[in-house]
Amino acid sequence: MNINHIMIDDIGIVTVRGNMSADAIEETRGEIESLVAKDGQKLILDMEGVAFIDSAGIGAVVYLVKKCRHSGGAVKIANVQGMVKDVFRMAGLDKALDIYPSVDLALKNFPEPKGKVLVGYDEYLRGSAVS
Amino acid sequence: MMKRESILIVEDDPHFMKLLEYNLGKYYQITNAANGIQALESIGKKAPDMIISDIMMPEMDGYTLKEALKNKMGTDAIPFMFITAKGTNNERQKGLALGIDDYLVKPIERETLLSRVRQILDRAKIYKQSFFEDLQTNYVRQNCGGKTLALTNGFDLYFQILPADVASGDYVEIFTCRDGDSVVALGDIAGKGLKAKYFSSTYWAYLKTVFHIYLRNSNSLTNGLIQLNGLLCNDPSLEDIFTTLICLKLGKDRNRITSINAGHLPVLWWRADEGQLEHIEARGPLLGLHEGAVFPEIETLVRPNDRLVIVSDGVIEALNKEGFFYGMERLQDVISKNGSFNPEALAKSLLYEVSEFRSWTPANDDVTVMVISRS
Repeated sequence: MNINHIMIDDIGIVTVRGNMSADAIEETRGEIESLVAKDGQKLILDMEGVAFIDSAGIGAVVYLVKKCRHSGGAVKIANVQGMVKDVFRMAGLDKALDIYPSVDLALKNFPEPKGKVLVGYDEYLRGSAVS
Repeated sequence: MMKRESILIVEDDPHFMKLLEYNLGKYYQITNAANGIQALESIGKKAPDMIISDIMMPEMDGYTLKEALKNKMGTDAIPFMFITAKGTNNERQKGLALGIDDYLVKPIERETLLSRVRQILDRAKIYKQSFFEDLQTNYVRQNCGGKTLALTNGFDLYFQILPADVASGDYVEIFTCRDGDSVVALGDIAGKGLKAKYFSSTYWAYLKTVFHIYLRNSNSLTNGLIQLNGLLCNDPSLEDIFTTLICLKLGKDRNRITSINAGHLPVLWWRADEGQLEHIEARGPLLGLHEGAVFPEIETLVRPNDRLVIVSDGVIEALNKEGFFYGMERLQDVISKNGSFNPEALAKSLLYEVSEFRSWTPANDDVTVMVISRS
């Protein structure tokens, strides 16, 4: 499993790729914790590249969500696919988490910072709007 | 061979670093970092058994490093020693106030260094051992089942918890309500590290309070779980752990079962008359995640000899040598094949199949199986 992290304004876009299994979570525990090291963190978890998740993976997602909420931040989840979607439904997470079909939609559902127009993720990836 | 303890040395002076590595490397596994930032990176990858750090370093000094570790889950208890040229009483007090275990002033004699390091590591080991012994004592007190219970309202129940560690995260509660119905709950507290294990007892306390004070006197499982979920959501000490829970109310009229599910695997219902297996889908979210969560109740009418099977994720996530999960399909196959067995025999056949799938290697998670039968 690998984790990439970019910032768009004050929102962290976290792209996860690979299997979110117990071993993978243990190996990346330091990286996962560093995502929420700062209070009030706003994150979007892009799970398009995750084909498999087990209870340890669910634990990691829940940890991020709870940690952010308690410190005044928020986590939105994007691009949940296939088996991961089924597991989320089974764990009742489809109703309890803020889930969006794309990173762009998740981004647009964060309140805009005062005096700024938030750039869309697609525009950001095209490199056209960040100055 | 006994595993050597690991020590992270944080020191910007390469000569002094070499000296420490030379003296300690014969007895311990040494990693090094040139400042606090590099040390945090290294600890993030693998926490050492002890840290020896200089104070004055570029990028991040020793005080800031200790402060960062103190505020981070899992690193706050790593034994920490300063070795520094700053020998004033004020500096020493500042270090001790941050919770360091020892403070040595350069130059240091080799024997002093070795004996102080050994003392700190031994003290940490004793602390860790007594912590786990306490957990083990609590675990022994915990009911792990292993016998068939005839509930007062015409249901037989067998459950078995096989803990993977000294402290089981799986739990079972069974009690009779004032109206004569029985309540059976099976849950799984999940979380990693000492902090999660420590705070899981808080979870237990909340669960038992709600079960025995609220649910015993109430008809509504939904309201009970909403109360419990509210308590768990509002306790910040529980942010590192979460729990799933399945709760069944077995009616005194012997046929009616009300079920509620907070993120747990579904109840598997084997229908004796048709030999068919169904899932009872009562879906609510994991507990402690979202304060406004709703937990719908589902009513099921069971018939004599029907079986209800509940397992923890340690069953379906049991791994074989090739790295495959046991999975839901294998579980369903065993229940379909052995559904007519009595609760104890059916539960034991499942536990046997799972252990055989793992080639009888130790489980990496707690394994719990519960079977309920309408007698």
